[in-house]
Amino acid sequence: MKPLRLILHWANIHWQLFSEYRLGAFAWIINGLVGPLLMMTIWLVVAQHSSLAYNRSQIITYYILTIFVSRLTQAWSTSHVGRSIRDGRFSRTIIQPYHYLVEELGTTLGLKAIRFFTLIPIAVILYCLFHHDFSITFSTSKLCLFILALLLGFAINFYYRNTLAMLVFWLEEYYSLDALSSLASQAFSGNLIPLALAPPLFVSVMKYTPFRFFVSFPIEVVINQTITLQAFQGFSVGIIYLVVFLCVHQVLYHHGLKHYGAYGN
Amino acid sequence: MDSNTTAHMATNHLFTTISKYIRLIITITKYSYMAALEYRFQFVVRIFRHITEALIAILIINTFFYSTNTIGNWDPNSMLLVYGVFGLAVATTFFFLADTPFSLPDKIRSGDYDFILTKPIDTHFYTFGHRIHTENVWRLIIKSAIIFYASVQLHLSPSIFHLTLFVFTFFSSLIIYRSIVTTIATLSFWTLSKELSELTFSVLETTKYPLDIFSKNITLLFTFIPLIFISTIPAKALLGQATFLSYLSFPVALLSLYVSRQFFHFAIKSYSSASS
Repeated sequence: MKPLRLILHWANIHWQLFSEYRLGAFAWIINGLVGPLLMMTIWLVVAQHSSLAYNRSQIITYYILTIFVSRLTQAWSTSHVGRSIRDGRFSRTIIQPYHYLVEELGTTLGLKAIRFFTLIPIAVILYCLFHHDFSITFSTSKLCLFILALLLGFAINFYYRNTLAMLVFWLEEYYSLDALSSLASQAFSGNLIPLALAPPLFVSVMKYTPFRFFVSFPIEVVINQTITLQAFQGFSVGIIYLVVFLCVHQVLYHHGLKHYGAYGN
Repeated sequence: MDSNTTAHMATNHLFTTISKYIRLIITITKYSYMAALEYRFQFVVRIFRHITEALIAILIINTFFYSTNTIGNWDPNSMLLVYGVFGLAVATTFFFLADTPFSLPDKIRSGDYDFILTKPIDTHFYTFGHRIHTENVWRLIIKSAIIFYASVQLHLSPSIFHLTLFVFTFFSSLIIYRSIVTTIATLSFWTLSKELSELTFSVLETTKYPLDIFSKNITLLFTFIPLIFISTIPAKALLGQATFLSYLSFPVALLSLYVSRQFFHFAIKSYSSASS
């Protein structure tokens, strides 16, 4: 229970911090809409000039879901933890009587809670604009799988970002790491190019990278008409990635602490 | 004092001012380069990041054309040309702008902005020009290579007129891009928020694609908010397609620069220092 109370404590702090700067929060949320809506518009234009694997309705459904799924699986640990290692604030964290991941998870969940509530009016607006074209059929089993896929995507993203953050112990640099990983994530997560519309070579790379679980995989679970073997294969690959990142993170954290120089603050 | 002497003095003053700013830019560039080389790993990773960014953009453009040969009046190589022009405009602007739009809110909040105000130099220039990101040279090189590659694929041989038009429209696009960014960053004096600048950059990313592929209403919107002048119009000039908007780009650039500077000076009047 104690870790849970700690997580809720840190989540509450960051909820209040974020609520202080409401205009910045609003701009931040709108920022998350620009990319998916731009790509949706372009793919709709492309669809007018060719026949694609997705029709108009599926393209709109895909990119509206992208807005929500990417927000729900997002994690910011590479910059949060990386910056605190770089400027010495990590020293305050490691003397606490709990693992730093408890605080980081609380922080991430606090930010996520704010996003979740601000997504509600956006969902209403998008529904009013696109409800004729929005097409999903939900069954209980599909909904459960979707929620599981979201949780898996978030867990993989969280441990992936924290594993990258551990490299800051040696590299003393987090900004470029974060930017590079964000680029790769954008390209291969399905945020820009849906798996169904990608060329074959791109698909074979995307299917086996962890980035697919951040956006594309949860949406595939929802959009596909039936629950297929591919969905279960996807979950298996995702769980393997989660275990790998968990193990690598622990090793890097253990060795990184020995190397940590505790920069002055 | 006769008019010839007055004109001579005014010309001398102008040349002195221009040479002062050029010397200042050279000094800032030199020290920014030395600071960038302090963190060698970061320097190398940034170059790698610029290359990766370009490759991903090329991949996305090729994916759009996987099932079709043209989108609107644009084929893959001409769309790549638009992307190259956009990238060149961004790289050039960011070379001189660095991260000043993002750091401005923190400087205002902490009171460090006072040290910028007290400098005996144009405040608007120094607010957004006191740092230079020299690693954008690599971005410039990569995006120029993309433009060159696309031009070769398109077998472009623009006339002197179209080349000159491209230079003018590209120069205008730099002014417009910088003016939009600095105008939004100026809102920091009231909002203390860097998220607005981040939102601006996201919206400006739309100009990496030709804006006339969208519906007439969206294209009209992007003409009034002058985004179409950033990459689509210069690219069209290079493609030998001069339009009415090509000739309009320089006046729009001057207007956007004027609005940006006037808004900035208005914002400065409402600034009250946070330092003790």
